[in-house]
Amino acid sequence: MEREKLLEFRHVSKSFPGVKALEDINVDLYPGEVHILVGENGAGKSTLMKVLSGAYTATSGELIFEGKRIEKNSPHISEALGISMIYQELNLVPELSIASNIFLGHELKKGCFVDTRAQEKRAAELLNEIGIRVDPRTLVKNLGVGTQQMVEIAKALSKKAKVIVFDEPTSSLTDSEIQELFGIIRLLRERGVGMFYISHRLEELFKIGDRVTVLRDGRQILTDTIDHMTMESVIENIAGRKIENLFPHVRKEAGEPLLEIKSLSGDKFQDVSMTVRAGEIVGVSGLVGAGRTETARAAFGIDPYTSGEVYVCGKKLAKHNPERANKLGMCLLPEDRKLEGLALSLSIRENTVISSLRALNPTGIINDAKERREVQKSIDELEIATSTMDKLAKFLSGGTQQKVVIAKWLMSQSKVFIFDEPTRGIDVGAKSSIYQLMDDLVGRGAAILMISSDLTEIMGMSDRIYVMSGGTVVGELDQRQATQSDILQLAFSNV
Amino acid sequence: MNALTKKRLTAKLCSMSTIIIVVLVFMVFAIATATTGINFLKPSNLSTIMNQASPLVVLGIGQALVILTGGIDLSVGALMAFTTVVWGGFLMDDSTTPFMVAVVGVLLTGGLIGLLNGLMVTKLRIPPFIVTFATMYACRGLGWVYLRNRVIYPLNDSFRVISTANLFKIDRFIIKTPVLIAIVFLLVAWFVLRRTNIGRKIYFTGASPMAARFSGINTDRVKIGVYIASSMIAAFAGLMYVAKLNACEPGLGTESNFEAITVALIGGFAMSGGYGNIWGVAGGALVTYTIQAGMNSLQMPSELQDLISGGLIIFAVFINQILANKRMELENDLRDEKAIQTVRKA
Repeated sequence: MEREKLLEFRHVSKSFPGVKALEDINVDLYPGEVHILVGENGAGKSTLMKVLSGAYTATSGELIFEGKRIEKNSPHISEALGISMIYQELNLVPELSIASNIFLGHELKKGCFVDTRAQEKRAAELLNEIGIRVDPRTLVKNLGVGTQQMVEIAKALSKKAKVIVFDEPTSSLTDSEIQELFGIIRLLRERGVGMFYISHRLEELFKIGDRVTVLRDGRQILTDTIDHMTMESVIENIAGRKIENLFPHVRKEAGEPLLEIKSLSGDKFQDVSMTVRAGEIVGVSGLVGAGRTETARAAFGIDPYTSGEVYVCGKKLAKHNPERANKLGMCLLPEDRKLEGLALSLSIRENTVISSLRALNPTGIINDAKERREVQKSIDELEIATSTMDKLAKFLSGGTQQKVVIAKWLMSQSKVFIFDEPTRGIDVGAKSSIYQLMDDLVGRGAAILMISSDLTEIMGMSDRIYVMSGGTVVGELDQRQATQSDILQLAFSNV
Repeated sequence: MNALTKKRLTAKLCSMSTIIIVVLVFMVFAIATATTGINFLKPSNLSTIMNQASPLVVLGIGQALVILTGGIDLSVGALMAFTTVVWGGFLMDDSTTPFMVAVVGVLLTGGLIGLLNGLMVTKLRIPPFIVTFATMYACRGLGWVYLRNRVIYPLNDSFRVISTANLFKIDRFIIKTPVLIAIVFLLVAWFVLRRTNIGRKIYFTGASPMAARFSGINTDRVKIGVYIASSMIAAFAGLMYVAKLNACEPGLGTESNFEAITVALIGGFAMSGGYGNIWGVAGGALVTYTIQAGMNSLQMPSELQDLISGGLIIFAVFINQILANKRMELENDLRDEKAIQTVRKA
């Protein structure tokens, strides 16, 4: 039986300057279907849903809703058509009642006043439909996360939603709340609501999904019904692609441990221990929110931690003191280069020397000739593409900016490098030269801890791999024995 | 004229925004006052403007340092009043203690208040606006409590030299000590900001506080340092003012904090931090004072003067912002082209 399609993406592509976020996506949705979207972080799931909600405009391709093309989408239009989004972070106003939240923006009115009583009555009906028993006058701040999510669903229903998008709905729910949510999703399915469901929890897709679409690097890898798939085949497709010869890294003889993190615990991570030896590149894999960046920031001293110890070159680091960590030869190349790695309004020269000022100018007075010589040396060595060292950092490309950050740390004689997503947003050409640099660094006896969400990068560059999930280290693998699906399975193990 | 020269010229013009504003302001008042029969540009008037604007230059340098790190210091005016009132006794004509004791005392008290400001901003993480706002009231109040409604005068003549002595004189064009002091302060500030490690750290902290921390700069120490410097500089400016007035009183400098901020903003400093050239402060002070003097000589009512000053700040900041961005882009282009040409020649 050929059912009428509710929604269809036809050849949808979306580019941002320098990146193709989506490439020729063809996904459709039938009434009463749960269509699951999976993929690594940055694969394009959220971008696709933002095209649907109208937050982004597709570069090319079209969006068909109930047989009609949506000409010019916007959050307002998609909402009016009956497309509702339920995000991981809920969008409710904590100080307002459930009823006021449900009707926020489309209040029931009597004349020009809000008809509170009618809203409460209707809200009670909606909550009843999805089987939730709470007083609609309760303030949202007094509800648990699970119930808040139900309020979001009631809100979607109040707008007569035909399509509901769930973006990681279960990430902060307890088991019983998840069961309740699944109950409601099944109810919505019976009522013919089409649903997109984004999740990192792969076991959920077999419990609730009808069809699955796997995205990778902005491309649609496959779309198929759930009966045709197994956990293994899904993981394989998520990880996918063969390792190209992008990675020059050759395993070196590992020396003394240069970085030792011992049972570090803080807000977002518990009991994390890691060791990196001289000559080693150690990868840290895991999903976004697994606590990798938080661990690195705390170890380096940007954020405080509650317990544990960090040793650099055998010396214990003081808590919350990046200055001291720097002096001992440790550095952190942050994920957000523009905000945390560079002062964009200053020049390459000023950015490069900032951590070596005392060594370059021991009297405190700037030695112009010496500084210029040293900076030029770095520019030549790292092949930084620029006309002059006086160029402001904001005029450089992402890859060149990353090289300037590396130049800063090379100049300061650092021995321990933490790279947080070293190649995010960088084109392939610059990527391979950054990999080459990393290999050179460990060749000279440095130790590198590399946080990356790119599995190929992890597999291609690491000697050893730590996998983090839910704030703890769930596994340590030797690269020679590890496979991408091992890593993925570990990464999903403690979500 | 080819495109390159044109670009070079525009870049130059953009970098001289403060000078252009100075010239514009002088022209406006020269024309406006000419209609009433006053010669605004006569030597005696010009030298007066330079002498009177000088303490403002000093004050503006302190403010500029704080603004460079992304902060603000509203307490400078009240601090001037408080420190000079507390130590004013030693500055009196009939005091038996050497006046240098008072000078050192004023500077140290100023530095202490700056330290408090800095500690509250960095360690207690209270926004600078609120911290210095509170300090402003506290200092002013303490000054009144200490002195009641008395005024300390007359002051020691050898102390008053810092404001009153003539340096040189060509007919009616008389340059006094404050001008020299302002120039010395400008030179020192320029040297520290552009030629020392400390200067590098100040600019970096302001341009990107997060990147500064990741680069191993103790940003708290940098910020505390600039608050101390700003307060000590303000305390020194306070000495210049009381020497000129020949009296210490708790009502000194009620407008000074706003004037200092105006000077820095017209001088091209960005409130967001990390951008600005210290020489701009000289221009900013000239403009700020010239407008006051000019409007006074036109006998404008003070309410109207305030209105015009307000409008001018908005205008100057707006122009500076546009020009700063334009200049960065133009200079970037020019650097690229210059590099290409050097390669071609080689």
